[in-house]
Amino acid sequence: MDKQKLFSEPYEDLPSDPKQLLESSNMKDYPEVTLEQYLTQDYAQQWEQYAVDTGADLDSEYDSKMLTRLDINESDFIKFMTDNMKTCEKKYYERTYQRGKSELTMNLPMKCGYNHRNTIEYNWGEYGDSQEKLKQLMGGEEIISGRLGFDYETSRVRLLAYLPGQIFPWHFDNMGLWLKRNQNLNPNLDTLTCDRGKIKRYFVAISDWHWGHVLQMANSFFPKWKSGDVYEIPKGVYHLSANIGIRIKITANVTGVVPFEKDSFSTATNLNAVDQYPCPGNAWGQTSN
Amino acid sequence: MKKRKLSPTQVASNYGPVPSDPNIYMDQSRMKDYPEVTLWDFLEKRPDIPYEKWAMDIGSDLTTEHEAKVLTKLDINQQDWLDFMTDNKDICQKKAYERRPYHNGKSDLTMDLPMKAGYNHRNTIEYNWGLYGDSNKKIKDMLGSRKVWEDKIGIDYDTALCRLLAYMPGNTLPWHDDNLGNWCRDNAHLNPNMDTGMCDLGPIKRYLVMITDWHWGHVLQFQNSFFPKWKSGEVYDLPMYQPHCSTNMGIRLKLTCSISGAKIK
Repeated sequence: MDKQKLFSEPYEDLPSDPKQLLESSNMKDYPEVTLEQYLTQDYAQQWEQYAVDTGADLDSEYDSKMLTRLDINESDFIKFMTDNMKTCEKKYYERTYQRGKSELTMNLPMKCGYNHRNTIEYNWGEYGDSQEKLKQLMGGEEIISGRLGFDYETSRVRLLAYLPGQIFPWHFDNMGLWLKRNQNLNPNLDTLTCDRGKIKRYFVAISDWHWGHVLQMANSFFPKWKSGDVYEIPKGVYHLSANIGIRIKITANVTGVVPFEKDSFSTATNLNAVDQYPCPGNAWGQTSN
Repeated sequence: MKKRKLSPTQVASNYGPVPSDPNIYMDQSRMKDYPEVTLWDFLEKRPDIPYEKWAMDIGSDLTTEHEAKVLTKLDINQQDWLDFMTDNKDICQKKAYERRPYHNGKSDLTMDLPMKAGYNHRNTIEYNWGLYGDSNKKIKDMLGSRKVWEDKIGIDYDTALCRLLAYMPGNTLPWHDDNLGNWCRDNAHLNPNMDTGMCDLGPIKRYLVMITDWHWGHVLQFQNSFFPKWKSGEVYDLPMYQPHCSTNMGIRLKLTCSISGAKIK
């Protein structure tokens, strides 16, 4: 299925006030989907068919390889979260500003049992000055451009916090907000290229992996990451993640354009330069065993 | 695995009787009235700290791996199980991950640790058969004849307790270890010892039979390892008193069946 066509309609503008996302939520009022309803309706089949039509299968494996490791101070990010509650975008896995044909715009997750108590995401990067603050927390231009290779100006950082019990269901990244912002670069969702280079998304672990922190990419589970580890979220590949554990799961992603000549991670040349170090424990007061 | 500070007996001592009405679990749920734990609550009150301490006290660590191996394969007809569920709604135990009336001991549930950390009545729903009516007998028969039990499963048929578990998308069974409290209560005549994992008939075991094939987002983390992509009919051993968690964060229904009982083969 041609993804460029599926998502030819740009995303809507975000509401000016992040609270509107919850206040106008359909999910919070949607009744519980019972087992009986699930078994007698065909929404799961519709969702699965959409996933298959857009590239999901049960065979493909993904061998994730760490690209590099950044010097991340988890407690700085915790402090940022606490100090920036007002610019936090709290949302559920439902249609908000998305457009095009996706599981969200068809409301399939909600009809299959996902709800406002199992898909809560707290995220920063869209409201107030959170984008610039996050870029600085990640290390600024030196890291985002110099180390990761992104064009700094058009790069976007998102910080995601998932509490225990919260799930980010099966999806592929269509970079909707980034594409909307950068239409002048003629982005192509199918090739994930634009006038300046490759459009990429990197996953940056802010907290160490802990029990129940799950990231399934294609049909493979990600390894037990460490704070600062950077991985690529490969183009168009279906994935999902969840926190079914005890500790909070904090990750970030960086989306942007990597000029062709700066795509140094395509061969992951610096993999061997990363030191392996033992889990230091949670930086904000927890002892790791 | 680290040595436990809390013995299995301390975690789950002497389960009480099962309430006669299976509707009681949702009707009297405290979880459904518990307010949402927000990120700000979590960061301020840090409910993960006592929860993690409890987990470590039962032997959890971040290093132990588990290599799951198929013990045997049963002939499972998935449609039979779906029909069973539909035909036996009245004896289904629907519950959220919270303390149930028969729970005792010092466990995550008796201390309400999951609820305080954000687990709730919309992300931990389990539909389960085996405790009510004739569901245990029916499930045993769907798993196989006595000959199958003797030759392939190897758990004493007469005393086995089977539980069919249905998890819809979005629902999680949080980090815990199995203590087989219901089986020990029902088979007190076999002198089960939860600390040694033995009874008069032999080792007390929990096996897991996969009813549906693995699909996207079906997760079983055992110790620090993820289970492989299972197929319907595969039977695995879940070694006793080792922590694990599972979820359905996918699209298709996840159906599994646990067998608790005495290993006789």
